[in-house]
Order: sequence, then C-alpha cells, then structure tokens
Amino acid sequence: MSYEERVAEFKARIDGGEKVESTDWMPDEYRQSLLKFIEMHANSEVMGCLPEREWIPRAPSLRRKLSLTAKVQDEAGHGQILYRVAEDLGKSREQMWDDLVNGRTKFHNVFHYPTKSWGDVAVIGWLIDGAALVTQKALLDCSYMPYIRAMRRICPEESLHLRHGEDLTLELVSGTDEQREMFQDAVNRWWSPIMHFFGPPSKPDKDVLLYWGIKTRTNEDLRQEFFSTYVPKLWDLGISVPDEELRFDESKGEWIWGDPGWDEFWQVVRGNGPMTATRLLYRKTMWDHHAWVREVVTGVPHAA
Amino acid sequence: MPDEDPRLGLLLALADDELVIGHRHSEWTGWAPYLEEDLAFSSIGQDEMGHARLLYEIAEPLAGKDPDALALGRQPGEYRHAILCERPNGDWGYTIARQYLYDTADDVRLAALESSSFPELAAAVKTIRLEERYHLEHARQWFTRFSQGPVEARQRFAQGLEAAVGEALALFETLPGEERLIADGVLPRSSEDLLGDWLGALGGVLEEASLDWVLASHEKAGGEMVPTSSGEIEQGPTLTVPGLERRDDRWVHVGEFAGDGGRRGKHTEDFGVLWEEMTALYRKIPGATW
Amino acid sequence: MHIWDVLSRRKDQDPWEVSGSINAPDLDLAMMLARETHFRHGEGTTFALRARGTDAIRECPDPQGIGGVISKEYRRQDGYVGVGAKLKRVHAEMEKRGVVIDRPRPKGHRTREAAGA
Repeated sequence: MSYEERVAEFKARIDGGEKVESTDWMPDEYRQSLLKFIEMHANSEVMGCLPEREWIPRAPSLRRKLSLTAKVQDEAGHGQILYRVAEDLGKSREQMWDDLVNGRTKFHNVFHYPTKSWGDVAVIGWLIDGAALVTQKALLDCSYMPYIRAMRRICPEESLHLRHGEDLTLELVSGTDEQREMFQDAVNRWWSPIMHFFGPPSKPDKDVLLYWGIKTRTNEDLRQEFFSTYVPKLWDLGISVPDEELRFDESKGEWIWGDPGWDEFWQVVRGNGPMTATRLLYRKTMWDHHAWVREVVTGVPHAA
Repeated sequence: MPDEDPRLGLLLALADDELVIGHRHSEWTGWAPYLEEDLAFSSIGQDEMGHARLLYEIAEPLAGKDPDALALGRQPGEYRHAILCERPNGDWGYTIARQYLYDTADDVRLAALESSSFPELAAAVKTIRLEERYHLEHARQWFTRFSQGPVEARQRFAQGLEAAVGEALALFETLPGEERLIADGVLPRSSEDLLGDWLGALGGVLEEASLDWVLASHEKAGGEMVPTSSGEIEQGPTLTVPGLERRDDRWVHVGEFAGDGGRRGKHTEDFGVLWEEMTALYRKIPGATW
Repeated sequence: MHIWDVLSRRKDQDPWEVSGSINAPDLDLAMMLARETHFRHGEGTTFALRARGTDAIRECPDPQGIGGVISKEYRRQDGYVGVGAKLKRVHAEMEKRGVVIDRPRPKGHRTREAAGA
C-alpha cells in the first residue's frame, strides 16, 4: 500500500468513529498536528498556573487558601497528564518545556493577562474555566484515544474548579457593594480575552484539526454554547457583559455578539500579550536556576 | 500573655507554625522545579494549612475567635510561630532543607502530644500524624537523593541546611506557661527534652551523610581570642551554631537559640511582609464572606 | 529515566487499570510522586506501578492516607454540594433588588445543539 493509500484508509477509519492508539500507524500530518495541539494545551495548563498562584498567599479565608492551592495544583497536574500524552507522540518533556520558556511554542491567550483583584480569581474560576470546559468536553470525542483518556481525568477536575469559581462568584455578587463591584470590574476586563479564547470565526472546511478529528466542534459552536451556559446566569445575578450587542436571536436560534476587535488577539498570539514576557521570564528563570534539581531526578547532567 | 490560658498559647504555637510554613510551601505551587514534585509539595503545604485550621478550631472557644479570625485577623505580634517558618523560601535547597528540619522536629513533638491530657488536642494530633507520615517520607527521600547526589545538588542542599538549622532549634523554644502545661500533663515532655531527642537524631543522620559540618559552620578563622588576667591570650571556644555543642559524641543544645522569641510574638521583617500579603484582603472588608 | 504506568482499582477484587503514567528514575521516587500526581482526589485507596514494557506490577507498600485524611472536602465534589441552591437563592435576591438584566436569552436557557459537527 502506498503512503497516500494508508492515509486514506486511516482517514476513513477515524471518520467512521474508530479511535487511534499511541502505538498505531499515523500519517505524519496527523501526528504533527496532534502533537502541536496537545503540546499547546499542556503549555496552557502550566502557564495558567501563574496568574492564579499569585492569589494563594492573599486568599481571604482558610478555606479559599486551601481550595485555590488545590486548583492551581490541579492545573499543574493537567500539564503533567498532557505532557505525558505528548511525550508518547515523540517529543520529550524537557524539550517541550525548553521551547515554551524560550518563547518558541505557544499557550492560550487568556493566560497572557494580569490579575488585579479577587474578582479576577472568581472570573477565572468560573468563566474562563467554564470556557475551557466547553472546549475540553468536545475533546472527549476526538480521534486519539490517549487524549480522550487524559480528558476523562481532566474534565471532572475542571468541573470541580467550575463549582469553586461559581461559589466565589456568588459570594462576591451577594456580598458588599465593594465585592460586587470587584466582580463586575473583573468581568468587564476579561470579557474580550474570553471571546478571543474561542478564536476568530473559522472556516470549518479549512480547519486541519477538524479534518483529523482532533477538534470535533467549530469555534463558533463552542462560543455559542458558552454564551448559552453563562450569559443568562450572569444576567440573573445582575452582572452585565461589556458587549452592547449581545442578545439571543430566537428566529436565528443563535446569539448575536459584537466584534471584540482582533488586533489584540493577534498581538498575543505573536507573544506580545501584557504579561507574556514577564511570565515566560519567571518560568525561564526557574527552569534555568533549577537545572540542578532536574539533574538529580533525570540523571542528565547540565552545563554548570 | 500573662493571663492567657497556657493551653491557648500551645495551640497557637502549633497552629501558627503550621499556617506559616504551609503558607510558604504553598508559594511554590505552580512553579516548583519539577512538575510531579510540584504536586507532591503542594499537597504537603495544603496538609499543613489544614492542620492549622484543625488546631484553630480547637482554640476557638479559648480564644473567642473563629479560625479565619485567628489565621488572618490578628496583629503580627500576636502570632506564635517559630521564626524559621516565616523566612522566605529562597531557593529549592533551602526549602527542602527547611521541610526536612521542620517535619522531623514536628514528628518529635507530635509523638509526645499524642499522650497529652488535653483530649481534643491528643485526638487531633493522632489524625495529624497520619498525614505527617508522607511528609517524613518526602523529606527523607530528598535528603538522601540530594546528599548523595551530584555535586551541585549536595552543595545547595547543604547550604540550605546550614542556613536553616540555627533557627530550627527555636521550634523547641520554651513555651509561655510551659511549667503549668507540664504540671497539667498537657505537655507530656518539656520542650528542652524534645529538642534533645531531635538534635541527637539529627546529629546522627547528618554525620552519616558527612553533613555534620552544617552544625559547626560558623567557626571563625583561628577561633575567638580571649584575653586572660596574666596577659596571655587563650584560644576561646570555636564558634558553632548558637546553642549547639558536641558532648560525649552527641550534639546537644546549650544556652541560647538563634531566631528565638517567636513563641512570645517576636518576629522579623520577613513576617511583616508575609503578614501584610496574607491578611490584607481579609482585613480590607471586615465581616465580609468570601 | 523510566516511564511507569500507574495502575488503580476501585475495589480489592477489581483488576488493575491504567489511570495514567509518570516519569521517574526509580521505583521509590515513582511511588512517592505517583501518590500525589494521580490519587490526591481519592481516586483509589491503593495503587500500583509497572515500568512500561515490563510485566512486573509493584503495589504501593504503604497506601495509608492516600487522598488525604483531614478535611479535604475542598478537593472533592462534596465540598461544593450547596452551590446550585446558592445560585437560586442569590438569583432570587437579585430579582428582589430589581437588578436582574432583562435582555433576550434562549427560552428555558437550553444550550444550543452542536451544529451538524
């Protein structure tokens, strides 16, 4: 069988709903797209630790101190799970981490922004984890079995974070005026990064990830589900969203939303987000400085 | 403090130690040197903060304040943790050295407190020890791996031990009202006694690893010169870590501690910074629920 | 460095299942790290490791305390049991205050069906 024939057969199998294991034969394009996607996902989990971990020392109660620590711990844990899946596709974690901290690979846009208050912690825990959960649940049906297994571990933990975020939100919204304002202010600042998170409206027929069943739903689909899940709840809590146009159009059966502008999105994708350089510098400094610890664990000596 | 129920002083010392060191450990969550170790160390930090919460719950009727008010609502001079706990994490060598020293010391005092005449405390201690077993396993594994590891690891770990060990002794600083606590059986053994046990064991472990030099590390070149009445100059005692001496093949504590005063609410600038960060939001909106 | 498959089971009689994997240079470190990497949410009462590519299953020698002992409800679903009810209460309060935002929303808040995949 020629390479092209093998690829066609592979494509037919996954289109028919069959799942791929790490030891199966894969087209080069499939392996590369998959590895890049999972690597970015793993990178995002570990970079996602950084905005939230700033609030662990500042949490306003013992219970939240514990739960926030556990949440950030989980995100690091998701990184561990996903890097392992990516490693089995052929790239070492050492190499992936090195590429990340030196700015050669990417991580999701939302983790390039600063946190300003406890309101941000609530928004991250509820709305951003909510957005992530929408996309992650879609991965439960992707074509690659090890990724599915990873998502079966990750999604329940993410749901837990969501409830935690919701709980934080409810306390703020039903608290003092200052607390309410803290949350509303955070929503105002985070809304367009969240819209950007789902990506620009894409052309499904040009989407390589959809083609290979790595993604199973379009950007727009996921964004619409996010709106339906969270916007009514926000409105029920008397919290507005900084998009004058946002409303559900019953006749079209979809949410109409205002263009948030995409210049900032492309800046962030290029590595010029507000906190990109700072956070990568932290990671790189830690990485370089602690090579001696890795040496003990991996047995790989490093240059002095 | 003079009118304070000594049991409250004991509970706060234990709880504040756990809170502050747990706070420091948890500062590594999300950016520790190695991913799986990040997870393990975060669990240890969470355990310690959970222990603090448990102990504050026992202290609540004695203090008239709920656990959050105790953890986040007191003034800096009211906290009773040992100064060791408030020091910044520094590098990973110091952090793990401190974890080793702290958890081995904690083990000695918890073992004694299991037979405290204060029933709620004794019961809490039994449960706490179930979680502390993992902390000890963690500490011992890294002690071995670093001390027997590549040159740089051994060096950084040893430097961490050297920096931490002096202040670690003050974990066993005599507690306010200790005489009464001992008389009542709340404290089954004196702090001094417990220190002796811990130090003896520590000295042995360090010697076996050829790291006992960290106990004698502050030696000045040539020793201290002490003038005598005859005009001759004698060599004075070689300086070691304050409070430590080697007698009869064992390391023992004699005299003063470095970093003492924590049990009486005396803390350093490091705690000022920590306290500000830890309590600012809680204090900003008093009475708010979060 | 080895890859260790991490195995778990719900009950004593169940067969071991792979629940994840971990990199570690030796069994001792793998055991210590696997515990918090894969079982801190109480996913099992004990676990085992198997170096990838081998058959030997090595059970955790001391599983006592896995998942934490003291008040770990904040790491579990049951730590957040009342949140749904809280949402309803807070919504009701916001209605009373007259701050609920009345803009067009889907009827019955039903999530939109995925468009033809």
